[in-house]
Amino acid sequence: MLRIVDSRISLDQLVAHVSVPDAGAIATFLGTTRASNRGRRVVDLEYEAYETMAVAEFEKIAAEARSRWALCELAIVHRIGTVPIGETSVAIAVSAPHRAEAIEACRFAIDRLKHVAPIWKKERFEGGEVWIGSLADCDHAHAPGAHEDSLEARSTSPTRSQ
Amino acid sequence: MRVRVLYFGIVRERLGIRQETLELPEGASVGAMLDALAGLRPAFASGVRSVRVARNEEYVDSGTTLFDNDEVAIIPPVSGG
Repeated sequence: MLRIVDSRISLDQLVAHVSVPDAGAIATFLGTTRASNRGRRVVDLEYEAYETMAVAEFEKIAAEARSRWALCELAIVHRIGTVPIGETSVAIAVSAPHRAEAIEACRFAIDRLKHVAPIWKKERFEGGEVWIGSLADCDHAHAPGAHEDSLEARSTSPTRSQ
Repeated sequence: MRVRVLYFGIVRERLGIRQETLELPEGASVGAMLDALAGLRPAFASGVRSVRVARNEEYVDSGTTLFDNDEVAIIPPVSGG
């Protein structure tokens, strides 16, 4: 299950997909849209993807994860369009015979996705909007996203609307 | 030769178009295409060094040769997740 969707993500669906008899562990990750970012009150986020390539990149991420760890199944679903605050923008589920592999592969998948998947978000806040990681910002490589993400430190580097 | 160029995110918004067809000399590289685009579209010129390029849905570097009918995507810094 490697998909771009334009409606709410159901974690249950991903978990069901990776629940197989050989699995002894399932690790999941949810990225959710955060209400404030860099001191701004965020209204919502608008996601855009180069959909066919994004799915192709998900396939590469899955293949690399499978080559590095003994896994059963892997699911990646990213939402596009307007995502209200507090909802899930990306979900990953990984099953493996043992927990260490599931957890490590899940972390690998979200970290890799954030670097390579051709997906963009525009943050709308009170008084403006800004593309996260926008051109003006990109000398600071790896500008972070605008949502809660327990696997990654938040940055305080500024982004300015163009 | 002709390639189809796709724009996304901030580049799409700045240029006000999602895609266009670009006429290039036979055997043009990705770098040559970016130079041509920067000349053609001043709104893109300042950001041209900040983007990655995908050819037929695969990331490529500036030395990669383009072919007729390629689909070339201009990929500004990604921010999925």
